[in-house]
Amino acid sequence: MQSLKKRSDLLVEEIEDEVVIYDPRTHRVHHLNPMASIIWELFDVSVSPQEIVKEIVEALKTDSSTVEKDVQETLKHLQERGLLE
Amino acid sequence: MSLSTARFEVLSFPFELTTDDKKFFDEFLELNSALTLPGNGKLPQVQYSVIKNTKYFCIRENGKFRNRWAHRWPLYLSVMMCVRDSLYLHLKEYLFLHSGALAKNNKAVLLPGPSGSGKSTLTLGLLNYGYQYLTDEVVVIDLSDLRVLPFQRPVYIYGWQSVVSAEVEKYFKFYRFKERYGNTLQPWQYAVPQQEAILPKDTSFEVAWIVFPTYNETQKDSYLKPMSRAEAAFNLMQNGWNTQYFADFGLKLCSELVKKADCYELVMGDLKEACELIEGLTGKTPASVESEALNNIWKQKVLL
Repeated sequence: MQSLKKRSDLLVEEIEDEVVIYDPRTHRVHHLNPMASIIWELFDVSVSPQEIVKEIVEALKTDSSTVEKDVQETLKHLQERGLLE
Repeated sequence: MSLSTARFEVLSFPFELTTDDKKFFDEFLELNSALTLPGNGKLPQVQYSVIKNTKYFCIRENGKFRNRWAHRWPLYLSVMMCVRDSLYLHLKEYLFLHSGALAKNNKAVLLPGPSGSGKSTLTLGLLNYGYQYLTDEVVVIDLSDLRVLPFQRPVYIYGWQSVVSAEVEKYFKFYRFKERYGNTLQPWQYAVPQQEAILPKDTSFEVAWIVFPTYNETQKDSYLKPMSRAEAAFNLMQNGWNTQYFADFGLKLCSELVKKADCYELVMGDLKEACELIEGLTGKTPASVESEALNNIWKQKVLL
């Protein structure tokens, strides 16, 4: 998972706290909910899922096991939809 | 064979229709009276023809076969489907969305949704609350200012019952006819906006509300739920008629559109309540409306 990064050819629109992504390869549009949007943003600065979890837990003062699950699921979801490479 | 030919313009798209069926020609003129302008000498970009051979009416576009029908009644819808496809292809200055739209106090409410979502039913219902009819199916957004333009096609309605109040009925002309499906004849009608309901072609409205209706038959009442603007932009993209021609620019357009509007999901179980919820968005207490017309729309599940 560490070697994955966001595809550079995607159009990303940030609208309020959420992200909408247009994929020019498939012409599909993806909407990320607020938590997935945070994870998407942190994906730029954090090198591993563990670091993303750590950042979110610190920022939101929340339970790490729930965040861990969210991060894993979101990254899986992004990968399945071909938004990471 | 006697041919009738006329040139039209819808938005900035000039086209020509030629047919040997006088009855269809007259019907086409009447049904399009609120939507099109006369061609006024502009060279048509596309020529459509409807010519009857021994068995079928054949529809051609620039001489190329598009469709054929044994009866006259599908001709109007079928030709207009071809016209709409051409609009989406040729006119790059507009974003076309699968949506109903109405206006009040110079502000527009969009009702985007796929077939079956209830947008046309809601559009008809809201006519009873003093809204101006813009369209029930094709919203036209001018890319220069993101305002909505009227696309006043006739509303296509199942059943012959009156679906608008006596007051609104004055502004529409109803064409009632029967369509054959297999061995059964079904009643349908077109509601064509008349003089008082026809908006000048250069009128445009700011999009103030975007409401995504969802019809739920198990639901008794109706309720509005705020929708995030990101989700609304995503949903608008799903309801674009021509977003594929804009690629990533389509998402930018939809994003800008939602930033200027309040966005909601409307779960519809009761039409009167749904109309009043939308009326309430303007901040005014909803007017009391005779429910007979609304009941007729709801009973028929018009164009769901």
